[in-house]
Amino acid sequence: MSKADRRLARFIRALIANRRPPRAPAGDDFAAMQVATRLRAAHPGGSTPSPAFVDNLARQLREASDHEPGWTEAGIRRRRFLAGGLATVAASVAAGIGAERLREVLTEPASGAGTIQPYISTWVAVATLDDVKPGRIKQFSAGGLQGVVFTLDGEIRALSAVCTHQGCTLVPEPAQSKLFCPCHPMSFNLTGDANAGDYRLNPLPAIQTRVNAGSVEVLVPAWT
Amino acid sequence: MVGGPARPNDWESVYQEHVAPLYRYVYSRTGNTADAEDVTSTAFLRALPRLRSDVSAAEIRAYLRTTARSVLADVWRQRHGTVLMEFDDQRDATQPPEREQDVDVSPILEGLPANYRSVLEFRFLRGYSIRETAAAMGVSVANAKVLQLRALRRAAATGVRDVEG
Repeated sequence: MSKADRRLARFIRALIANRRPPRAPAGDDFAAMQVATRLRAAHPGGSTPSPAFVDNLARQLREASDHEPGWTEAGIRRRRFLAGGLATVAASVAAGIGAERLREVLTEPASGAGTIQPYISTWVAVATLDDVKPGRIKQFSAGGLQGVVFTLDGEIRALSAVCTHQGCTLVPEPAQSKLFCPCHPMSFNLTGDANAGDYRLNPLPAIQTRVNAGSVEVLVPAWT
Repeated sequence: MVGGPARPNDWESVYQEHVAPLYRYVYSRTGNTADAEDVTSTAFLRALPRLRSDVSAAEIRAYLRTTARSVLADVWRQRHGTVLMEFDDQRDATQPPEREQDVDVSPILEGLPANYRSVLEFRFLRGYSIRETAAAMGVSVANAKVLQLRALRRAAATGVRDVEG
């Protein structure tokens, strides 16, 4: 097989494994690559967006519409859902996402500290399952976020590890299940709540986690 | 609703109505989930803030597609150093929207020799491995590997001829 053959074969392999094709000059094969893409896209069951994706993009758009000045200058605006408007939702979003769910995703504002929902986000592996065994707290730095990941009540969770007072990086104390601020006598529980003390502080924002291929991943901004 | 009188749009309704169709459109040009999700996201994030509130559903659909195409072109340029050629855009434009979920590849397969068609069907439409494809076709693994490349290149050449003709 020639170099071009191997390149096209690699392109095909990636598509069939549902991976992004590798970076490589297309040479004379760009039309063949596009035909391969069309053919692969026609396989049964591939072309419906996943409910998780539809959800996540809705959140990103909501964030953008709330925070970017461009959105308020344009004619297009947010609107609270009216009951009647929902009939079309189920019909048009054939992704299996329920109308109720979509309404919730689109209209519930992120309240309080809440969960960090980066506008452009990516999953980054920051720990092994071993690192988050009960009784352990793993520190990480990813996508510009300083965080900690751990298991609480049988669930893997992550929190921002930046003190909501003056931005000092919190120090985990696994034995006490707490995060201590090195700048002031202040600590946070693993629920993210500040312990009562001399300061009244906002809770720590949560960071989304998932387990993928034996690693613990967190959802962080993709800009950095 | 398509082409109907403009009622004021809000982005949530626009999103609901267009996310699945746009994703399908993008997926048919990326063939993998990760790229399809990235391109769809970027297209919505770019296009929605620029949409006026009084445009029709058909205009929104066209604008989203145009935006998605330019994002796709960037992906191809960066990854493969080539310009994305839309050899069947004419057909797209005339296709009613409810048909766009059927990705019709019969024009690609039509007119190919039977063994070329078979290898493409096994590999791409059924997702067979090379080994499985070879077994199904009764040829050697090396043979199946070469056959899939020849079949793709022939199909590509035929597609380009169709547009020119």
